[in-house]
Amino acid sequence: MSSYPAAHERNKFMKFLHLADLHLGRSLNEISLIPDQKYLLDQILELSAQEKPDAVLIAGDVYDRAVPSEEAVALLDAFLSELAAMRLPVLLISGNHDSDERLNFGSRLLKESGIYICGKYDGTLRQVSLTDGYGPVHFWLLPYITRAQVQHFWPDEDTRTYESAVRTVLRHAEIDLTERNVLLAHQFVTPGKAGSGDPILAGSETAAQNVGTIDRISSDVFDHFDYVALGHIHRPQKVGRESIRYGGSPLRYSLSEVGQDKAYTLVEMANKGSHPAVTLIPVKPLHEMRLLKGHFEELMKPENIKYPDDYVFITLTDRTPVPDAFAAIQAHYPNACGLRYELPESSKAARSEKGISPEGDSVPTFSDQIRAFYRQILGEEPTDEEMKILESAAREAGVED
Amino acid sequence: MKPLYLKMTAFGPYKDTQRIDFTTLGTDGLFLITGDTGAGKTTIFDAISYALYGLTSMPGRSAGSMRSDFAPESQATIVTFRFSHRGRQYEIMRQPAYTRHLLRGADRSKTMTVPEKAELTGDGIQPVSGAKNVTDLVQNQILHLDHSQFCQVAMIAQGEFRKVLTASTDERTKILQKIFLTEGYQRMSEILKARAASARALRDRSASGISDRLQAIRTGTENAEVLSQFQSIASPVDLLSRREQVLGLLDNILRSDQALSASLAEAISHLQIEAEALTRRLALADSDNRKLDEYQASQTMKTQLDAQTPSMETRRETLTLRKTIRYSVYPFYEQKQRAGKDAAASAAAYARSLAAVSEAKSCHEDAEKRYAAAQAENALLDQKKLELRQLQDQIPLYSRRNALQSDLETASAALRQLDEKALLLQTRLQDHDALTRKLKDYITKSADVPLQKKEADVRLQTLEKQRESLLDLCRRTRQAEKQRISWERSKKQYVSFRRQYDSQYAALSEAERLLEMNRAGLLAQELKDGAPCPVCGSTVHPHPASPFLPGASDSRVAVTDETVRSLRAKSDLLRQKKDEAATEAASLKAAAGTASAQLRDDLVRNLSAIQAEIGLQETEIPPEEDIRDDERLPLSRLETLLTQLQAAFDSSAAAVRQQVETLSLQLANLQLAQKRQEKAEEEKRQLDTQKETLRADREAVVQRQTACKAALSGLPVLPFPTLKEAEAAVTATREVCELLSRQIEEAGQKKEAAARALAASLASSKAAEAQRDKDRLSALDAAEKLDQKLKETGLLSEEVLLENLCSEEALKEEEQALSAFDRQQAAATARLKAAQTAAKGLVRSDLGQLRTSQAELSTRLAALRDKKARTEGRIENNEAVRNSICAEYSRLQQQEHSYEMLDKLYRLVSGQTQNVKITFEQYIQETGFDEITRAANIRLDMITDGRYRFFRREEIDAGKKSKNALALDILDNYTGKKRPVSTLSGGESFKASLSLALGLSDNISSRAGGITIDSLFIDEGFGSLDKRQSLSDAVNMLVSLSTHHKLIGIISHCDELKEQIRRQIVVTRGRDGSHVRVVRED
Repeated sequence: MSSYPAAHERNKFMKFLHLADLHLGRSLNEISLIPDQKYLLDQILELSAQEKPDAVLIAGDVYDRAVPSEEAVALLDAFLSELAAMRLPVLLISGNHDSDERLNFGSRLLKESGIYICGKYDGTLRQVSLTDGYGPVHFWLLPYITRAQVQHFWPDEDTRTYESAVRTVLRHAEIDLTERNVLLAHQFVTPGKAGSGDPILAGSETAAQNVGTIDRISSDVFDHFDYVALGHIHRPQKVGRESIRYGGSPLRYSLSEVGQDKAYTLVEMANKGSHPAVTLIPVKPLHEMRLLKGHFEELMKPENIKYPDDYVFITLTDRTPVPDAFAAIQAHYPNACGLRYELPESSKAARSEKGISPEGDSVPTFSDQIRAFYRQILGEEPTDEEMKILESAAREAGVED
Repeated sequence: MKPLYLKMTAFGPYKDTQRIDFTTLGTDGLFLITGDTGAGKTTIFDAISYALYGLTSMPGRSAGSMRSDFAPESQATIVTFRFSHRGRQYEIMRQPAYTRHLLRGADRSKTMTVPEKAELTGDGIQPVSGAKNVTDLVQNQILHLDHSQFCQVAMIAQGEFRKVLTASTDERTKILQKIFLTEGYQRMSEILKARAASARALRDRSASGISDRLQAIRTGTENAEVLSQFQSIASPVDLLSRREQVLGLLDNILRSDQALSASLAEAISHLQIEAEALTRRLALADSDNRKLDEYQASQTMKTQLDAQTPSMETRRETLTLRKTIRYSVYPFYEQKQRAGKDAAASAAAYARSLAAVSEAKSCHEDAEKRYAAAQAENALLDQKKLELRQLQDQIPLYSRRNALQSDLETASAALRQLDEKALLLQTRLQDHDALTRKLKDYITKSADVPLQKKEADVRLQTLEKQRESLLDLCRRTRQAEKQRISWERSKKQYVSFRRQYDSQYAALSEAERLLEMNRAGLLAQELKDGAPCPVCGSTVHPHPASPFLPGASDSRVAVTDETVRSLRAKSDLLRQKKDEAATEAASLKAAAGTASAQLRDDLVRNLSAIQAEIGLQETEIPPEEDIRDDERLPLSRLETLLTQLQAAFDSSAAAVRQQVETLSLQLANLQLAQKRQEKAEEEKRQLDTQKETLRADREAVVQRQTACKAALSGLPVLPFPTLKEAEAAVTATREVCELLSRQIEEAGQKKEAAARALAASLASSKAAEAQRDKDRLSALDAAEKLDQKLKETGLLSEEVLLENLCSEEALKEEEQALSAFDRQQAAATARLKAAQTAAKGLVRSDLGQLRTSQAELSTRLAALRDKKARTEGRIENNEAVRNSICAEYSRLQQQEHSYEMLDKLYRLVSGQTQNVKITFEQYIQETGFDEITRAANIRLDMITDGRYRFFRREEIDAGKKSKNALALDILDNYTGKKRPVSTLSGGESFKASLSLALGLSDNISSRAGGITIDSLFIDEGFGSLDKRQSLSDAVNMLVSLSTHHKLIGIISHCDELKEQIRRQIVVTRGRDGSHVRVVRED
């Protein structure tokens, strides 16, 4: 509060870093990504030192699990401590992977140090006001909420869908529309009237949407915010308008994200009424993620091994399985994630977001089956007379035809 | 099978009744059962499994052990489960057996066992009860799965998922049988076997048919040996192969027989010619011998006849004499006899006629006498006729008299009736008058009732109004009282605040004072040697002031600015509160005062009206000033007064009400009476008219009566009392007349007849006399003629004549005999002549020898013929047999062919071929299983990133049946080698078995088999998935499956799953049992 240098001492316009979906503690195919995550967090610290933003926003999914691993906790602890030491305010909300209560631990104490954590919705929308050369900027922290939670606080309001729940929460917050407002949220937001098409998923999102509920929120709900810092989708992109954005995950968490660009989002506010300026700073990870495909012999040639430390997923095109292929691969690629063979069945099952539909083979008929059997055992085709006998015996036996 | 509703009572850790409505979780999709370990998550599965099969989902838990320990003894353990399957709903209730103490009876320490109960009801089935029956029904008719199969396919229990992977071939076979309905193939194999057997039987029958027919071939010795060879062939195949030979042999036999037959025919014809010649010779010899015999015989005959000639001549003479007698003399004799007879007859006739005449005379005399008597009766007859006429004239008068009499009677009767009616009418009129009088009285009496009633109503209304206002006043009084009380309260509060404030203010002042005093001390604290004192400027401080308070020895509280500030703040606060309380008290007081004043006012105003109304002398009404005064009449007493007044009003009102009622009743009665009066007038009019009518009728009747009487007296006197008697008299008289006239007639007729008879008899007597005389003469004549003839012929007398009389027939006979003899003689002579000529020159021959030769020849001929016939018979037989054998052979060929085919197919289907010993059923199962593994592989690939793949273990051992055809291996792409599934780790096993289970359920759904699985339960196992990614993959897989109208329930305590799966059944453990609740957070 009063011990911190006022914002206007640093920048004329409010500038902040919009991060999201850190998923600290996640592992990829039994390989812990902690080192990579540590590398990235260090990168962010360097970036912060460089760019000197006025705040760092983390829009949810801070941890990978509700009960994070020890290393993950230690990582976040170090990160936040560093930011605090730099006198850099941090605004942090929970995502659907975090545990509300656990993330909320110490929030009232930490805010003294400039770390504003909102892990749980308690009926009022938390607000943090920072000032820049033009006046105050109000940051509203909306943690991950479910419909049921909102209904608990506002039983008389319409909370039948996620969208109406979020609207209810926003309605009960006293937002001064004459001033600049920024919202942090972790939801599945789709473009409203402004745009069309759902946001592009990166592939590693494990949204509750898969389980059958559609909790999409139209971006029109946030019309009166000057900027909305979203988390949840791992690919950085805008939703509807330029100032509603997903920060995107800094790391690639699944093989389907190979080739996508990961970036940090740097936002610079302007005065009320004009759009904030957005810069995407590309992320350079510790290890890349690659898909390699080819014959085993080829791939194992020393000249083909270019990135031995990267996370590689290998598709072998050999016709016959190679004995102990994976062990051999691991010898050269210690961070190998997995191995498959390119065979017709497995290629069809390549990860699709739609899920799996069982092979629609038509049920073979009796005559097909008996014919095949005959061929297999006796090595010739049955005569018509023989087929007739078989079919009549089958009918008599009650085997459907 | 989709669960709809589950209710568990005293089951597992659930002490009370817990209900789960699965329909709130949706009809498809994923849901999670979550909660602490041991809270009772798996128990829900157990309950479902128990409801369906009477067994829990794990072998270690028996149904009996499912009884909740928390439950009281009297509470039975019940599970009720409602589910839908293939569009029908079913409900099962099951209750395991349990032991408890007796609830009733003397000895409560004894225990009894409540037996197991189960009931099943559902769409389209009859309700079933009994544990075994219910299980059977579920197993065999509804789900078509038994418990272990259900567990393999629909419910993967804790730790049991490995079973799906490691199941033995036999167990797998059983499931696959159910899915692919392969029992039919077994049946099919048996059908083929049966058909092959019957084809073989047919073939054998044909072969034996051929064999039999071969036996029927007859042949001579040359072919017999070969034939017997063929006849002894037993094997049909052999028989078939020798077809050509057999047929050839048969042809040979036929040919040789035919040749034989031809040669025999020739021999026979030769012999026949010879036999004919011999027969001719024999005939010739025979005729010669006969001619010679004839000649001899005719000679003998002639000689005999000649000896008889002389006797014949004598007879001829006698004959002539007799003829003469007969024809010439005899007629005369006859004549004479005749004439004598006639004469005698006519004499008799004449005598008779004389007798008749005398008789006729006497009759005639008699008849005349009678006639004279009859004439005398005439006069009587006339008299009787006159009488008759008189009587007849009188008859009509009788009827008239009768009619008049009856008329009179009716008139009298009518008159009597009318009189009675008149009497009745009179009484009625009297009654009516009385009634009318009474009504009038009543009406006049109650003339003023209406008015009275109105008055009473008005009074009642006023009373009620007053009562209402009193009630209102009462209420206001109470309210005013309340207000006063609250005012009092606020006053007190003010007082207390004031006091607090005062004390606080005092403390504050004190503290300030102290502070001031201590400033010195505080300042003193800061003093350092050498630094100037801010107060006095000295740099030495020998006696710095003490900051502590004098007085209290142990409580050395330093008074600081802070303290003062806080005290001041507190006092300010209290002052505020005090002021607030004051204002509040003031306002309340005002409010209370106004309210009280107002209501007293109102009461006073109404007082006079009240008094007037009730005239309250008993209740003391205080004077006006008192009422207005608060002191003299406080609110509570006022209230009491008001209540009393109210009570008084109530009682008056009650009285008035009573009055009103009575008056209304009276009014009603009055109205009734008026109506009745009108009716009475109407009635009177009717009665009067009736009276008039009666009178008129009566007059008419009297008139009639008089008329009748007059007529009756005008009639003449009649002899008979009744008509009937008169008529009887008429009839009698008529009869008498008729009798008399008849008698007279008869007498006249008789007389005439007698006279005629007499005349006739006289005439006939005369004629008879004449006749007699004539006949006498002719008789004499005839006798003369006869005598003459006798003389002529030389006959002595009539006796001689009669002696020689012969009949004509006799004479004729004799003549014929004589002529016959003549003829005979002539014939014999002729014969002799002829025979002599014929036998001239002939000689006798010996026939015996010739006959013997003939016989010999014919025997030989017969033998030859016989042989030929036999040969021909053989030919015919053999030909027929040959043809039928031919036909039989072609049938045999066909049957052999079909038998071979059926046998081949049977061997194929039943796995008995040389190559690979696998039955069709197994093949289907294997291919089906391959399908399942294919489906499983898709999922396994996805969930393990392509690392693992299922393979069916193939042990193709030539000559051995593969027993492990349905065992599974897993290919690990990382090593490129296959290994058994049992080598997978826990998490990997789970993924593999989940994939397999899903593949299985996929396959079941896509077939129209008897099993439908549209829900799947998975108990734990997710915790063993250590990678975050695999968990989401697994969940994704289940999600995609669940959208195909499947409901998938997962038991897990994984937190990650809680986030992702929003439909949950949460099980919480408490001290007295666990509880479930269904949560839907989406």
